[in-house]
Amino acid sequence: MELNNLQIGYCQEKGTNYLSGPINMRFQPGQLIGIVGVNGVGKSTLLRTLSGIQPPLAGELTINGAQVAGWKAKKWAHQVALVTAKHETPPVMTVWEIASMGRYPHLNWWGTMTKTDQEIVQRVLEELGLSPWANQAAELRSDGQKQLIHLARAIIQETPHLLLDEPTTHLDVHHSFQLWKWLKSIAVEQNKTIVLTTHDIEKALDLCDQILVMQPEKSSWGTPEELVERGVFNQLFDPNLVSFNQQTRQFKMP
Amino acid sequence: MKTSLSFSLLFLLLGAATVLNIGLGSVWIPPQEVFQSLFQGPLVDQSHEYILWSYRAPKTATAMAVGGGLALCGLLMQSLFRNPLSGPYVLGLSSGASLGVSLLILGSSIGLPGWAMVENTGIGRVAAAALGAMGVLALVVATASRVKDTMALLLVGLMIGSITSAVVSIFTFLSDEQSLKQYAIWTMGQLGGIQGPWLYGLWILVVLGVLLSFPLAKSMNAVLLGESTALSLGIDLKTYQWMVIAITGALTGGITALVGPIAFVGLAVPHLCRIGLQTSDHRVLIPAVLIGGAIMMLLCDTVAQWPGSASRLPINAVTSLVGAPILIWLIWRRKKAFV
Repeated sequence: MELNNLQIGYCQEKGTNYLSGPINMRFQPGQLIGIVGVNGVGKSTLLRTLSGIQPPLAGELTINGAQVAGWKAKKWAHQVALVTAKHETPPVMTVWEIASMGRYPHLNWWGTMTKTDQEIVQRVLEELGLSPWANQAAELRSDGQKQLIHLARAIIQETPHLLLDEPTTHLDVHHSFQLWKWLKSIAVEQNKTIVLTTHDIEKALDLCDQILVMQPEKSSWGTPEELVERGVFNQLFDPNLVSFNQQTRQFKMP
Repeated sequence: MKTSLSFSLLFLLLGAATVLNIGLGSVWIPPQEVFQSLFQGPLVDQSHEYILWSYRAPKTATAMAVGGGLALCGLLMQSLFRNPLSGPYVLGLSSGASLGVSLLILGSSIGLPGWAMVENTGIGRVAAAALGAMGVLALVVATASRVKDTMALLLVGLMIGSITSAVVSIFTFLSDEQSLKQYAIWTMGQLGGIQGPWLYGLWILVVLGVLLSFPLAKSMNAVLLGESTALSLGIDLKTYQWMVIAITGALTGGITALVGPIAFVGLAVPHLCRIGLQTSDHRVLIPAVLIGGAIMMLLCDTVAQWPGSASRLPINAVTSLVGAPILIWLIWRRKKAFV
């Protein structure tokens, strides 16, 4: 996936509302990529644009060298899986039912699952430790487990790109660390590109291969080391409120 | 296993409700006679044979098609708006259909220019009701795309209902006695009197609606997880939305034109099926609401034609009396019931 001068935002009645500056970046398979930035800078909008839900305002987006403009939803669904920040867990639906919806792009019009489809769902649920609750109502699970159920659904979609909007929200430290570990291993073992938005910049600096720092004027892109050296994080927040220590790579109150 | 058991029960209930509906009325026709006439040949009692095939059977067939069709509309609308309180009656579709029909029936008598040219025919009535229902649905869809609030959407439905009622009131005030009576009878709803080609037409309409709805089941399931997720699962949301609008508009319009506005069947049956079958899978829910809607309509019609009595209660009043308490009960147990 490659972004060339990509501009995101919304067309409104009063005019076009551009969020952040032009974005240039290239995602490689097997990498965990973090998107960070202040609230409202357009992190979720970028994910929506990268998953084909919302068109870009300007610039170019290519996947495997092909222009994505005009792609149908089904074609997108074979390339990109998305887990939104506000995902819904309808009552009565079981963990298995929600997770198995990830197979939808691969199924016929009636949604008939083959034995292979069922084995994929079973395997992913086992990998994420969800199989004990497979036949139970998803609504009754904890917020952390619901997050995992939707992650399972996206993995089951078997796309080369996995986009996650704030996946560690609602998770305690233990589950948050566990999720980061899983994502890192999924990216490496399954050779997927995993792109996630997060407010946990310190964790992103530790685990992500590349980071996009979104800012209203100009977004910065690079490895954690490059970005720290360039002092990008020192200017990310109001220095009177938050300061960044380049040695420890931690934020603190001045 | 659980699903097949539930469907067996639903079919049993449908069978019982059908026999009860055909048998009960001013003249009681016992179940064995109904079976005999159906499977073995004409009855010895010619009056029973006549009542059965000229009046009861068409009415039962009408009730089944109307109940199933309206329940399907309710399920489709609840999925489209992702709003558990959606239904053809609550969101003003039936009011829109009523406005269309009132314009047709009352229009010429109040001297609307050029209206004398428009004949008050059955086809005209179906077209007027379908246009009215689709017009309201388009308005509600436009509102829903701007306002995401459940309550606001319901209020819009309520306001549309009020506006159409006000317009209809003005028409009724200005129109002549004969047209007024014709319209008043239509508003009460009646399942009897739909015969021959009209009955076939009603069934063809409902069967078409059902056939077009089945391919939407996968989209309806995906939309439960939110529109963004549905899109990312490869669902063509625009096609799905337009299909739902076309099916519900045509079904509600056609049904309302023929039997009058019927309240609450479309709203209550999908919820009852979700609770009864403990599923949100629309591949199961579509057939379930068709059977459930038919059962509810048959039972309401049976109550309306209480045994031994020659007079009948208006069917719309009965469905309201049965459906409204179900809605109140659903709101009481809101957290679990609304899917």
